[in-house]
Amino acid sequence: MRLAPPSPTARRAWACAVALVAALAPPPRPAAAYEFTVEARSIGQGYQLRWFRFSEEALLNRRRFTQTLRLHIWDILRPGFDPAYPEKPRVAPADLYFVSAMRFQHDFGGWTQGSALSTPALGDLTALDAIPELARESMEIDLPYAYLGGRRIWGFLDFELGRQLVVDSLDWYSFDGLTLHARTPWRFTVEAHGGLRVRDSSFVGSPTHEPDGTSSLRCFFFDPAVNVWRSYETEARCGQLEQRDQLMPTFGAAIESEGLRRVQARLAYRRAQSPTAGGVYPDAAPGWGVNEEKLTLSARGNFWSGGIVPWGAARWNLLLAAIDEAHAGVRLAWSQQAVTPEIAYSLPSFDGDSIFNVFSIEPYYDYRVSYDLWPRRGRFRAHARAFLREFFAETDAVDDPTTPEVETTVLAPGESVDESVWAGGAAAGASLAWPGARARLDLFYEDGHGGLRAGGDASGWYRIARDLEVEARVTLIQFDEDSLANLHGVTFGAQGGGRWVLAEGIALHLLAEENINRFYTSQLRVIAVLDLAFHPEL
Amino acid sequence: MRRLLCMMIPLSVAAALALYTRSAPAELGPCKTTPSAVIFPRQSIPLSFSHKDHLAQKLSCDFCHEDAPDSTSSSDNNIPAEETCTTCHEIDRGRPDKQVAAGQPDAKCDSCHPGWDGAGQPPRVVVPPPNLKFNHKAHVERKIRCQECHGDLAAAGVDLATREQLPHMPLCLGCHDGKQAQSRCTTCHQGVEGGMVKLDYAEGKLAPSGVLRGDAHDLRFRTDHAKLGADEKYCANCHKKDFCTDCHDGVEKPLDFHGNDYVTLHPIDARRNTPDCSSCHRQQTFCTGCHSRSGVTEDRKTGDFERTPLAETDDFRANKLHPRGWFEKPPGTSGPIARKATHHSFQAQRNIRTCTSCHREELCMSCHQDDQLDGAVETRPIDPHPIGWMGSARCEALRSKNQRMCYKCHVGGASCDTRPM
Repeated sequence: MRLAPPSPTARRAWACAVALVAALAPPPRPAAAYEFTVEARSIGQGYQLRWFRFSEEALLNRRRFTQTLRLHIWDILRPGFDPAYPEKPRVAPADLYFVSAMRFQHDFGGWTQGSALSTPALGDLTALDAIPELARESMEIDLPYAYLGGRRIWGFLDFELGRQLVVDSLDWYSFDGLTLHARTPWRFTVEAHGGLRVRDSSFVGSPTHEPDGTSSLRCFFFDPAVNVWRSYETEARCGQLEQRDQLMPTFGAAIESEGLRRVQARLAYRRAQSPTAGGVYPDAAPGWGVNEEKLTLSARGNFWSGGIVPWGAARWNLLLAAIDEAHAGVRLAWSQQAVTPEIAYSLPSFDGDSIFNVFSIEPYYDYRVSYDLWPRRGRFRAHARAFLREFFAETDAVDDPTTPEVETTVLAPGESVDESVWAGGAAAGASLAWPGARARLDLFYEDGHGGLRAGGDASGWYRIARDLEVEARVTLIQFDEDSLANLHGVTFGAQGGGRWVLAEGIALHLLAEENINRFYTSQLRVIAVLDLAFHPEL
Repeated sequence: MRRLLCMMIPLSVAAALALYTRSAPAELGPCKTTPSAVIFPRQSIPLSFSHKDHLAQKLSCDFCHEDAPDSTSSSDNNIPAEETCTTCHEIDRGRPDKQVAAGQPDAKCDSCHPGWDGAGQPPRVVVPPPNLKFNHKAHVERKIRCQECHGDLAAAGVDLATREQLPHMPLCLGCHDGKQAQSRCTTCHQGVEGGMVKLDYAEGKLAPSGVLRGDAHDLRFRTDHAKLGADEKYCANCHKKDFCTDCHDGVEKPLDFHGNDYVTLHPIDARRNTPDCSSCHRQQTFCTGCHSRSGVTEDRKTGDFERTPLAETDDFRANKLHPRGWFEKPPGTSGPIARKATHHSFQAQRNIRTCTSCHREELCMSCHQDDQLDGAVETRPIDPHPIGWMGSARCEALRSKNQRMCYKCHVGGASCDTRPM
C-alpha cells in the first residue's frame, strides 16, 4: 500500500507542530556528572543518672536514640564523560556543591518521659513541663547545616547559601543566609554574610545554637498594672520566654589574607540583633536590642619551615566594650620535638539579653606550656603539658553611702578572700602504634581551684581482621571537688567495644562502659552505633 | 607532700621523654621531618650504588633515568633497569664474578647486589609509587632542573638515593604559591569526592607534619586545635563540615573524649572551665536542663523552691551544693550585709559560667532586682555591679546596645550617669 502524499496544509500543520515542540523543548544539555555521598548513623544509648531529688539511691533511665542523615553532592555542574572525546577535560562553569545534615533524637527513658514531681503549689509536673530544656532530648529534629555552595565563579567568587555553621578560633555559631567570599588581586579576600541567626525557635533549629545566657524557661513576667515583675508561682507551668522566639537578623564582614606563605591574618566583624517581644518588657523598652556584636582579629605566622609558628587572636566584644576572648602562643619545633608556650584570656560573655553580662566581672588567665615528641615520625609519639589558670575576685567592694536605696555588700570582719586563686596541673602521655594495633597511656594531675583530679587511663586498639577491630580502656582517677564536701573518692572505669564492618559501607560499633566508685557499685552504659554509607560515583 | 609527689609523676615522664630525644639523631633544619611513610611508602633498595661517583663521571641524570623527562605520572617507574646499566657495565649473568680491566666499570654481580652470588634472583628493589600526583614532564618543560627538587647529590655526597632525596612539601610550595603555579592541595595530593585530599591509604592515615602551618596532628591536637580554628577553609581541604559538628555540637561527641565516669567528675573541670565547656555546650540550654532534671539545681519549678531556701537554713545546707556563708542573709531581714569568704559573689566573679550552668536569670533577680519579684521590696536590692560601674564604658555599651537586659532589674530604665533605680 502506498500512502498518498500529505497535502500542503497538512505539511504546514506538521511543520508548525514540530517547530512548536522544538521551541518549547529544553535546549540540549550535556549530561551532568556529579558525585554524591549519603551517610546515615543510628546511635542507641542506655544508661542511668543519679537523681538527687529525694534520695541518693534514686536513678533515672536514659534510653537515647539519635539518627543522623547526611547528603553531600559535589560537581553539580561538571559535564559528563563523553566517550567520543576521552581526553577532553571536564571543566564546569563553576564548582557547585550541596552539603546537608539532618538529625533526629529521642529519649525513651524516664529522664524525659517521667515525672519531675512537685511543688506543693503546683502539684505533679512531667519532666518536660518543668524543664523545657529537655525538649531537645525528648524529641528533636534539627538541621545542623544545609547549604548550596559555589566556588571560583568568574574565577574569584565563592558563595554559600542556606544554613551554615561557622567555626573559628574564638567562636562558633549558625545562621540561615548567604555568605560571599571574593578574592582580590592583592593577596587578600573579602567576605560578607547576612541572614538570620539560628536559634532554638528557628525552623528545625537547635538550642545548641542559641546564644548562651537566657533560658527557655521563664517563670516571671512584667506586670504593667503594678509596674513589677511577677513570678508564675501559681501557674501550671512557666511561660516560654517569648524573647527567644524573635527572629535574629545577623550580618558581618571579614577581610583575610590569602596566598601569603609566612603570615595569615583575618579581621572579622559580626552583629546579631532582635526586635523586642511585645508584652514582655515595660513599654519604655526600646524596639530592638543587640544580641551579639564582635570584632575578631587573628593572625598566624610560619617561619623557618614550621620551626617557629606564632599565633594570636583577640575578640573585642562591642556589647561589653571589652576584649572577652584572646589567646596567643608560639610553637617552637626542631628536629622531632616541639615546645609550645601559650597564654589565654577569657571574660565570660553572654547573649545581649542576659543579665549575666553584668555579673561577669573578672576574666581569668591561662598559662600553658606543652611538649610534643614524634621521633622520626615513627610508631612512638608522646606529649607533656602543664598549665596554670588564674581566677580573680573583687574583694574591696564598699557600700555606697550616696545611694542608700541600693545595697552593696562588704567583707565580714575577720574574713579574708584571695584576690586571685589558681588551678594548675600537668599531664603526660605516650602512644605506640604498630600495623593494626595501638596502645596509649595518659597520666595527669590537677589541683587548685575546682579541686583535685589525678590519675590516668590506658587504652588499646587492635585489628583482629580486616573487618573487625576491638578497643578497650581502663581509667583510675582520684578526685576531690573543693567546694562540695561529698564529692571525693576514687573512680575506676573500664570500657570495651568493637567495630565490625558487615559489608562495604555498613559498620556496627558496640561499646560498653562500667564505672565503680563510692557512689555506685555499678554504672553500666551501653552504646550501639550503626553506620551506613553510600558513596557511588555517577 | 603526697600531692607534690603526684604532680611529679607527669613531669618525670616529660623529663624522661626529653632525655630520650637527646639520644635520637638530630636532623637538618629547624623542623625538617623524615619523609611521610604515607606519601612516600617505605622502600627496600638492597643495592650498592653511588650517585656521587656516577655524577663525578659527568653523567647527566637522564643518562640513567632516561624515562623521567617524559614521565607524566607518579606511578611511572623511573628507576633504571639492568639494560641501562649495561650501557657501561659489561654485565654477564652467566659470569657473576666477571673481572674487568682496571679502570673499567665493575661487572661483578655483587658490586651492585651486595652478597648475591648469582644464584637465583637478586634481592628485589621495592620502590612503591608515591601517593601523590606528579608530572615530571611538566616540570622539565618549565626548565626546572632535577637538582632543584632532588638536591645536588654530587655536592651532598649521596651514594644510594632514598626517600630522603624526594622533595618535601615546603620545597613544592616555593613555586606552587597560587601565582606561579596552582596551590590547591589536590594539585599534588590525591583527591576524593568534593575535591578534598584523600587521607586514608594502605600505609596509614595522612596527617600534617606541622611544617606547613605548625598544625602537626600530634597526640594533643584532637583536643587542642583552637589556634587553627580561624582558618576553616584550610581545614576544609581535608575535612567535611560534619567533622566539626561530630564533636562540637555536643550530641555525637567521640566516645573517648570525656574520660570514663565523666558525669561524676565533670564538676571539677567545670569549676575551672578546662577544657572549655562552651566549645561544645551552651550552659543555659544543655547544662541547666540536665542539672534541673537530676535535682542538682533546686529551682522554682522542679523542686521546693521558695524564697526561704536562699536563707542559711539547715535544710538548705543539707540538700544543696553550696557551703555555709553562700548567702549573706535571708532576704527580708534587715541590718548590714557582710560577706564571708565563701560568699557566692566571689565564686561568680571567678567563673560566672559555674553559676550559669545551674541557675537561670530569675534566681539572681530574686535579690538583685530593684523591685524584687512580686514587688517584694522589703529590703534594699543588692547591687551586683562591679566597682566603677557607673560612668564606665562597659555600662554605656551594654545600655546603648541592649536595654532589655537593664529592664530586667531596673523597671524604670537604667542610666550610667546615676545609680540605677
